[in-house]
Amino acid sequence: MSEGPIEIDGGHVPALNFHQRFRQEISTLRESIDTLAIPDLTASERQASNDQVLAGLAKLSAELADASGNLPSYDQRSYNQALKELYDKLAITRASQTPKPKFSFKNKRLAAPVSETNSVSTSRSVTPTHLRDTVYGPIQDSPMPALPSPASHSEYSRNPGRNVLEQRVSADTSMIQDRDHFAVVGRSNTYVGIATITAPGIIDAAGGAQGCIVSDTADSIVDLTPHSNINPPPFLTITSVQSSLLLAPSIKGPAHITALHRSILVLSSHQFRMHDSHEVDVYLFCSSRPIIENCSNIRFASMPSRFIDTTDLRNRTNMFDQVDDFKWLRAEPSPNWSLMDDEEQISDGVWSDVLQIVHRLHDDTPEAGKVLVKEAVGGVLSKLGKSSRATS
Amino acid sequence: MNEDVSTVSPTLGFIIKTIDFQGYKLNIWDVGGQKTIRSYWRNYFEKTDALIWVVDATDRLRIGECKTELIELLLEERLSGASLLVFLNKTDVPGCMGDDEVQRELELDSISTHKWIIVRCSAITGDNLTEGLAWVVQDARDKLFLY
Repeated sequence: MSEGPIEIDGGHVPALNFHQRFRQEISTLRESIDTLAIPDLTASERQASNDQVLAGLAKLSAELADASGNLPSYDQRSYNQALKELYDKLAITRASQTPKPKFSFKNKRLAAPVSETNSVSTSRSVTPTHLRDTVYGPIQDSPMPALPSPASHSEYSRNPGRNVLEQRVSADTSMIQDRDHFAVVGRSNTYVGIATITAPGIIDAAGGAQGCIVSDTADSIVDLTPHSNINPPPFLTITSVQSSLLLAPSIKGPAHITALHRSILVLSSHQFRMHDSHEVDVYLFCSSRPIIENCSNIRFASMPSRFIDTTDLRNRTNMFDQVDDFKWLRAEPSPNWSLMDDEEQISDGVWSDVLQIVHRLHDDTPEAGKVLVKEAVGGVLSKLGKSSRATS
Repeated sequence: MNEDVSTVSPTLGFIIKTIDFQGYKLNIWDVGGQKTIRSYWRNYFEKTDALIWVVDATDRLRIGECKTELIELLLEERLSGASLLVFLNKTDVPGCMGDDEVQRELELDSISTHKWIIVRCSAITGDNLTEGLAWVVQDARDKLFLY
């Protein structure tokens, strides 16, 4: 091993020892990395030596950090450089030894789901066709009103001119549709009840084993209230929805809400996380502190007791009024959310009227004529709009 | 971990906690994930033995963002010696993402600079929390006795 010239640091013995030891260990590690390149190693042997080299590098980095007070800055720099080179060397050696992956993860979303199942053994079966096609089959034939926004998912992907956020959301949505979710996507001026999005066979015997996503929907009522033998989804994702009424009073797990605008949300969930949303009235039952981030004009009220259908909820604390705003780090209260006064909330009488219509829509769909549904939904939303600001 | 979890809420800011575990004292810096404070993460990198990256198994929508942040973080020189424990949380919720799925989405197999492991867990039921921390401790111990 060639030591190279050692600078004598004014007789500073600890520093000298460090120099020697550091160089020696660097050299040992370099040799270990070289042995990694030997092709006969088994995968587990290779992994073990790789981990050992990593641990050695880690230890050396820590020692260098410890000694930094005693080292001249030139040495610090060159030693850091030496460490970095070893990390790079390790990465390159590993990359050259690792068998080529059968497919690239990076372009996964562009690849057809079928090829994905063939090349990777996963414990979960991937639905070969887009879930979208099967899930909203029952009302698939309803002509989609040609609204400029929000557009259907496929229109997003055809239109590269849209802004980045929307494209990102649509890409992520398509990912979700490949999985075992049930989904409400690209609806407007309509009523979607839990029965219509729960195609037979989608919910397993244990009941409600899939999360639900509601996305790219406007001027609609989405009703996830459990009915008879249909269980509510265990968790809920809402993204890109506007001017709508969303009823989800029985979500056991978390609710993730992104880009919800000018809407009314009735929700009970274990956790509440809302991003990039504006002008939403939330009637909430949440047993942990609700979180908003990058939102404005969000108003909260306790979920009316008429929506509470389990004794389980009655025994829990509702923390709907203890909201944390992740975008607001100052001590003063966040200006982005507030609590609704009694007179700002939808009154009991209005809820009764609205829910009567909602129940009728649930029972009638899909037999009811499309025009009637549209009118009824419009009626409900404008009624609510008068009591609050949805659809205004 | 014998704590009442029914009202635990996401970390707002930073929490520092010491846990006695298998005869070791673990100094845990619980750093919030909110966007506004991500730039402050780096104040916590010095002398870190392990990075525990907690992923929400029910948040498919942000798994891409999660990957980007993680990859960015692993480039940090001061974290170069840290091992990575990916805790896949909320796996008690039916229909959540599996560990194979998240391993793929986060492209963990392409990580060559850090020793890593992914562990399904649930902060609600306490499942696998001990197993995850045991890995961290064993890993730190290995580093200690290597030379």
